[in-house]
Amino acid sequence: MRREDPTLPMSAHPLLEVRNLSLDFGSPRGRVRALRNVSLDVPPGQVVGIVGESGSGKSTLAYTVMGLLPENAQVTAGSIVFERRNLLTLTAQARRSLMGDRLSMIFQDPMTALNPVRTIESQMIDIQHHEYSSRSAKRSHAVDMLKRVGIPDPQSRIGNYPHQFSGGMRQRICIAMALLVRPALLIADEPTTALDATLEVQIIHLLKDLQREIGCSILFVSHHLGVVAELCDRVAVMYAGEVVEQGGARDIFHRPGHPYTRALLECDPGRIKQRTRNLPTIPGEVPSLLGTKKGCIFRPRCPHAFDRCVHETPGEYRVAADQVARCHLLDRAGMVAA
Amino acid sequence: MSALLSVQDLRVRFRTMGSLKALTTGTADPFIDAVCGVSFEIRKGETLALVGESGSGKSTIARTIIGLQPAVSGSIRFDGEELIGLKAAERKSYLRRMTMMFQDPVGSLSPRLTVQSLLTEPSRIHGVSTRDRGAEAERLLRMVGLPGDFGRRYPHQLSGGQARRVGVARALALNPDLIIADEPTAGLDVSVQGEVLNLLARLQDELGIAILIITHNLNVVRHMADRMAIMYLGRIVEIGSTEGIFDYPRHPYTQALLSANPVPDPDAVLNRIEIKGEVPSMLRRPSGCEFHTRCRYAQEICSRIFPEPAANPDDVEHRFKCHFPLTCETKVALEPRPRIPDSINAVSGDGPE
Repeated sequence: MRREDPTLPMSAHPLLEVRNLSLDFGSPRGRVRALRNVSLDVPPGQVVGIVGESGSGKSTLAYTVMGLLPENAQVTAGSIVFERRNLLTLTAQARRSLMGDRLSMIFQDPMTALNPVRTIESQMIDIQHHEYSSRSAKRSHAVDMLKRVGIPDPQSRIGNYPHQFSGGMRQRICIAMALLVRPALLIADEPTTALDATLEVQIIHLLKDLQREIGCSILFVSHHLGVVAELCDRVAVMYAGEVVEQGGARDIFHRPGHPYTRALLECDPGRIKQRTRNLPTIPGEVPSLLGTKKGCIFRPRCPHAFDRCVHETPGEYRVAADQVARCHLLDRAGMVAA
Repeated sequence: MSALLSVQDLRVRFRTMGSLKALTTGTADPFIDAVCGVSFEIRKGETLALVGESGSGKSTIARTIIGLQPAVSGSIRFDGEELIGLKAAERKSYLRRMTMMFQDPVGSLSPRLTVQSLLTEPSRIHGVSTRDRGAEAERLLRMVGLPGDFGRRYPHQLSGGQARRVGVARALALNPDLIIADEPTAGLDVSVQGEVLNLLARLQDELGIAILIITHNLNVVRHMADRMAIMYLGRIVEIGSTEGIFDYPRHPYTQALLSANPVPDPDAVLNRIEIKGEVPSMLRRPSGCEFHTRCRYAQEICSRIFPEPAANPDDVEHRFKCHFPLTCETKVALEPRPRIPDSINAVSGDGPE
């Protein structure tokens, strides 16, 4: 089924390499700089989480990799290298042959991700359009996958329409469809946000099991820190269009280097075991991304801001062997620039 | 302390099909019981949380209390007065004393009104004379920590957190005794979520308001609520003090719900009790105990007989409905245990199966 390419040096190169990516959205009031100088690696076989609050650009990054941007979006700098090919310079045809084969995606809302007027069967057969096999072989492959994701009685239910399934079932079907083609990279945009807590846990375990089985990488976008801690090997923290910190999940959650990461972790009420009537917050608001800004983007809300933060955009500093953060404080502490 | 709001054996039904269709398809009972014999009390100045997954009937209870949804049977007493069966005009004087905050922070504010008109609308409706509308709006805005000049803004000019604050100010406009908050933090970022909860806690301490919080977020419950009630398929399966339930859940569903709360620490996984399947449809309500189809402790009796309510011997306020309530040992099993360090490729050491 899977078209293995033995020439790919899987161990040496990251599967997906985003380098210095900047993206603007045109708007009547000016250019919104939605992504600025974003660099991110997804190594083969790993789950990389992108965390951030609303408006941090985490979904925009995922959609840019998939090439699903609206017309007013413009990539102004940078590259996205996937399996040693720059996705941004690929022809539409070459890109299309990657989608649903090497790259696939799970969307946030399982209610709208499926076509309501077609059966699950025809949608699941369609998605295998890259495969050279018979329709019945594709169908039985789809049934196997539905069984794998825990849909009871898949033989008969495959003929049903999306509205005949509950929300959790539909998200399972979306996962089954995305992994049916055994992609090298799965992009999951908040796949559990629309689901209840007990279902969320089921879906996370399912994703983790399937990821190990297939050996693919996952780029997992979420605002839920608990879910990211549970699922991801590496984490990138985004704030207002920048990756402010990234590294191994353990390092980020135990020894956060950036003040924003620290504040975000402190805010999560799941961390506070003692009952309190006064929960920590991050004062202030996410800044507007209209126009060019000088200095550190987190400065207005940062408790440790000093003069340098006003004038100079911080570069990346190495916090640990595998952890970098963009903060001038780390320079002060005598860290070496990465 | 006497109960401010007392709900006894409340039942709410929804019609699933028209009477003609029911006749032609031979359906004898074209209704679903969205709320099925629910009883609870809220005391003055207290916070009660109704917790449950979507479709458990928690929002329906809130809508029934404020009269947006008729009840089939049962009683809702507010400060000793029965609300069920009251005419709309008679009910109005009680609606001054209990207000509702709806789920969607921006969507629950009319897009055509300014913040000032939104905040003074409740006093206008209830005929409370406010000589200076502007000053009144400013007072309310300051109370929820927004600048006074926000009165001129329209809802689309507010962020989610600000809109939620306006919602709180609107609920406070008539000095209520009870606020019903339907998912007060849904759709808000963690950094803003804390602000809204702190605000509610502060106002409760200052004004002595009772709060009924409806939520699925257990982290919110832990910090906000004095008592909590866990709902499943339109019934309360367990009710008691928040600490009591977090420390020592007696119902298997509560236990599963508590353990399904991902902790932001990659090294500590909860000894998770994963429940199979999904919430059954109310159209096909399971027999006996409704949770038996997903319960790992279920035995033959559970599918036949609905369990009688029982109370915790140490704490009579802590009540639950289960044939085989959990014992103390399960509490230990819920404590986080360290994850076995595993390399990325190791297949073992995965979550509990």
